[in-house]
Amino acid sequence: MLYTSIIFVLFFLSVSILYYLLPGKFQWLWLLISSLLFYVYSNPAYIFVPAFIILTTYYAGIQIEKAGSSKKAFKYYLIAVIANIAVLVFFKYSNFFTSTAFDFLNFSRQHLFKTTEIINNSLLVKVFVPLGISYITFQAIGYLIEIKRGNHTAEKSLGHFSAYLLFFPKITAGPIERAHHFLPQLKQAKIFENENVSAGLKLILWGFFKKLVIADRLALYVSAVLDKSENFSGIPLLLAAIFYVIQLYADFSGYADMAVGFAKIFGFDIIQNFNRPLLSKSVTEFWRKWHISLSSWFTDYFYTPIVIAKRDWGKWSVVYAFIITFVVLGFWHGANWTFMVFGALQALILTMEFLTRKIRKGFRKKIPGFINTIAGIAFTFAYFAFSLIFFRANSISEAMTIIQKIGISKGSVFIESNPSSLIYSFLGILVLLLVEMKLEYYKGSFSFFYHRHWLVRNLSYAALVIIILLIGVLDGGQFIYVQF
Amino acid sequence: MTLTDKIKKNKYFFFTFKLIRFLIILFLLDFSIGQGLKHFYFKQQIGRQYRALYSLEKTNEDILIFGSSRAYNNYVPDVFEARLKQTCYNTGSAGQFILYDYASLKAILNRYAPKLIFLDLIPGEFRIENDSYQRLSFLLPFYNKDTAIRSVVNLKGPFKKFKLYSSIYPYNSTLVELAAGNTAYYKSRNAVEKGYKAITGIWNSPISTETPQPYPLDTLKINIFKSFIRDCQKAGTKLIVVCSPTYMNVNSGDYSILAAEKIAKEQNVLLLDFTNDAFFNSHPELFDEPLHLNKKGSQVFTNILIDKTIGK
Repeated sequence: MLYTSIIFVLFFLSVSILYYLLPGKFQWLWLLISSLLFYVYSNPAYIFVPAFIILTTYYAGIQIEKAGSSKKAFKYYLIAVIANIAVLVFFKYSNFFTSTAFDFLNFSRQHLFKTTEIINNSLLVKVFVPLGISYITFQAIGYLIEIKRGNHTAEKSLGHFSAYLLFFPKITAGPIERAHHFLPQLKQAKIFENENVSAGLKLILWGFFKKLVIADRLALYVSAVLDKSENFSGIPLLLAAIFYVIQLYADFSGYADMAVGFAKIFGFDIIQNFNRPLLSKSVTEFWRKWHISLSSWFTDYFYTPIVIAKRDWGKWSVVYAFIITFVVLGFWHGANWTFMVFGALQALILTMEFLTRKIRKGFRKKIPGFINTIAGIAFTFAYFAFSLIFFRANSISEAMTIIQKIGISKGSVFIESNPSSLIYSFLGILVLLLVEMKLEYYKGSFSFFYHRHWLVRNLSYAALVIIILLIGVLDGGQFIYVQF
Repeated sequence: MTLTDKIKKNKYFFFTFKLIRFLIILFLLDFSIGQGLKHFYFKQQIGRQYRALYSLEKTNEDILIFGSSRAYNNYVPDVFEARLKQTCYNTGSAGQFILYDYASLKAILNRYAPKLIFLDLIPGEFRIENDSYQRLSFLLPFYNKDTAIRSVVNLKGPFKKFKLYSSIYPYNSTLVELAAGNTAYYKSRNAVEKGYKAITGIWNSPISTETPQPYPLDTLKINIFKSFIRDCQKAGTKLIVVCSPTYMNVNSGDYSILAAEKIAKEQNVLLLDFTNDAFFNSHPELFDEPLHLNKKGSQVFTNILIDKTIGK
């Protein structure tokens, strides 16, 4: 159920109206039932997957707390974490591991037995990835670690714990919400607050804009070029690579804004997953602003423990932690070697930035501030765009071919005779850029969306809806027609 | 206590009041902009939308061509007119297939019955593909004008009617084309002759060999193809179904074309399949790329088509 579909809008309306009609003590239960309905709608057969994670984690949490710091606690902890990882690996990575095994088998047969016969891996049963599996398992593992560390107490109510892991606004695209932040909110009775509902609706509208006007529009060009990269060279490939960064950001942060907005309407505060990362002046800053809940999860439960464990290595412990963390983080994004290269590229630049931080600081002092800012933003954007070529490609060789072909400055920006889609793309990007720059650099100045006069505010939001209706990709009917 | 104070005191009323106030502003803006777009949409003189408008509302030609970009680029109305001494228009539209063709046919048959229709089908025409339903959005400006079109556009999904409460929605993503269609900007760059657009590239890569893989057929699309035939027969319009040439060797028949052949045979309709045609497969210079003929190729093909059908 896409957040931008009419079916979801109707679902959300009915859930939220009934939510505020119910007595406070039943509101969490209604959220749990709605979340289950949402999950079952996507794939009823797979509801047993989150059910298994919930039961295992819930039971283990209580047992870890009971056992205190004994070996028994560690045993429960280990079993529950392994169970969570096993579920994630099975559903998300089994296709990857089996096809890699088949590739290896075919490679060995060809070289050892000199046979040209290939065992077809299409015979394998493809495993369907259950909705939100990564987010659910990461939240569950985080919860277990916090109890094991003694930072938080175990949740005693299975219903509340289930509602925490399944809360439908955050199940599709996160954020990875921490239990100690979410569970107390779940237990409070919520009353209808005008401010919460209007703030939520505004965020949802902005999310819709990002998703429908920018992400889905850019996706038309990006898909037309990168899905058939063999037919393009130079400029269209370069433009598609640039567009892909903005598409991914608008898509992901659009969903995140909607998730925060939906949660706000229910009276919940959940973590903002993006903080204008495309205006970052370094890759280090970028990763503090991009997919914040994932970065902070990895920092707390992966990066920091590695740095502490290897603290005898001095600064090399940080480099080591960067490499391990980002390769794993890359692999978290998807089961393909391309994601690992993406992660490795992040680790490489973060290492460079870490090792040269003093030199760069000295260098920056000699250059005017605005040049520093522009150069920093441009470099960060370019580097991320470069690494995303691997992220988007189906294989490393495909990514390498795209990079090589970008160097050939041939081809027209307009890949179809009708330039309208490109014009709408640039219009959407312009609005996004203006809004983000305003929020980043001119926070206190004049604002259309938060103006004191209701008419200015209302006209601004109505204008946003009109832009969505005029140039948003409102259904799958739009396409870029390309002849080769 | 004033009415506003009373409303403000009850937060539910206050929220409803603010929401209604916003919706009124939105409705007024949507309605006025939508009416402006409607005015300019139906005043266009050139472009893809204009050709749809002309096809649906203004055609009066004896011969009409239906189909996708392969119809648009492969069939030359001037050749039909010169050889058959009858008027001809090409309603082919890039990226549109049997669903769009049928909506157009219904709108046209409401006005008059052409003497002859060529329907170009592509390999994979009846493939199950949600996109082909979504692309019916192109016909939304006609939704409230033409009941015939409405019935086909409704195939897009059950929620279409809700979206059409907006006056702007039918004109979504049409701004740039509307601007071009109402000015002469495109005229010099976009030479379209009676619905036909010649393409000028010359293909020079070696011929490829394709083996079509089996795929499930969309029964709704097949039924619409049958309705297309039936409606033509009812109107007394002669229908010829064509699968125009490709520059490739195809090892076995495409499932959609095989299904179409069977239906055409049952309905006593002529179907000509130019796939694997020895002449076209030995003349790459007639193609812009393997699926589309170039200017010279389209003229040669149109002449051959006339020879094989009416002209013989």
